[in-house]
Amino acid sequence: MLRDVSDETLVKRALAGSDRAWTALVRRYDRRVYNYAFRMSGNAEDARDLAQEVFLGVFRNLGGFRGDGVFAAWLFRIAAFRCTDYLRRRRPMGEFDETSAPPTDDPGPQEVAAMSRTNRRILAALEALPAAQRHVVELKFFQQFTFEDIGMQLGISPNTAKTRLYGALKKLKHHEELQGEL
Amino acid sequence: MNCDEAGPLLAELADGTLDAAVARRVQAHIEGCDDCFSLAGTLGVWQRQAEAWEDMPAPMILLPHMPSRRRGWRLPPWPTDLRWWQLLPTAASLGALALALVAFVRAGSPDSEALPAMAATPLPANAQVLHASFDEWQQDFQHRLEVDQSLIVQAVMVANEDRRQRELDALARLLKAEMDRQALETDQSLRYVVAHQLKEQERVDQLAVQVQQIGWEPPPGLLSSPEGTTPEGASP
Ligand SMILES: [Zn+2]
Repeated sequence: MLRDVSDETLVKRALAGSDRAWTALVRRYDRRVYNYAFRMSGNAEDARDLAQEVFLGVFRNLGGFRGDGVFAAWLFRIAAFRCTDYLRRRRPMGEFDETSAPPTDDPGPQEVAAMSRTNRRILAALEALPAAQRHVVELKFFQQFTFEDIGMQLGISPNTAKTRLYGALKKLKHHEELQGEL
Repeated sequence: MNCDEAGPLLAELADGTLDAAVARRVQAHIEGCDDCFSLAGTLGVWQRQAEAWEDMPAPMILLPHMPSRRRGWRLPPWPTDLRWWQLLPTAASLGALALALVAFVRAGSPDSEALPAMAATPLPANAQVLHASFDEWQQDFQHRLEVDQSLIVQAVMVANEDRRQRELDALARLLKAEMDRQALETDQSLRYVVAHQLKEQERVDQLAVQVQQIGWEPPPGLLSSPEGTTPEGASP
């Protein structure tokens, strides 16, 4: 079964022309990538588009994965790049930076109805962060990457990633105080 | 160690990945600093929040097919920033190409009289090989065409999902409004009919009383017309 095969083996088989291996690889990560995209964009429609773009990006770049690192970290490098690019394209020029206003998108009525209270609280708190800080929070807490990975994924130094997380924590604490107990 | 030095190290302290000496210094700072102590609390909350997130099911992802290496040729690289609607011209041209191919194959078939000279020409030695690879190419082309078509259909379905839902919602609202209106009208007409009948009955009763009072006898057959004769026909 392909279920027991490592990511790296699936990549090799996919590159050799196996659609089954390629599909299995995508199915292994589609949920994780979609939820990542949802937390980053704050709404279902963008999350769907973004997840689609991420896997097209993976498809195009798969030949460049040399198998010397963890596939997930490599995949999220593409995801982070796509996501930053996507959010930048979605917003007017210059809005996507450290001091940018948070997105206030409606997640979509059906998605809200289906979402748990915890998820809604998390989304509301994440929306209080500038995209650059939100990205580090996402990659550190939700994806559990190391600062070295995060630095590689976002094209920043590990120390910058740590400082961004520190800044994000201060904002989240402030948000927490405004909202009462999280 | 001050706040701006300790703060960025809080996550690594929590992960236990800090050098022991550094960890001790950060720990000492936190214990003497309310702000950083509180931030460490927020960090813990978010580590738990991340675990508490309930994953939403992934939507359908449209997958381009892996280029087959055995066939000896590859798909061109997938274009950047592809949107589903950008596939439509491709679909159109592929369709046109397919039609042209069909027309070409038909025109060139043996029972066609268009090119009689061709049949008489002896086949070159490598024609069979050429023919075989053309067949293979054609099959491959057909396969890719089908794949592209299914991709496009999927893409259109996904893109229209929201719109279909909105249309269905609107239709449901319209239907409900229509049903409400009809129910109201039915109700009103029933009331009208009943009220009208009651009023008529009252008038008939009054007439009967008046008739009795003047002692008028109806001619025979008027009140007991056997074939449902009209009042005009039966009146004196
Ligand atoms: Zn401090």
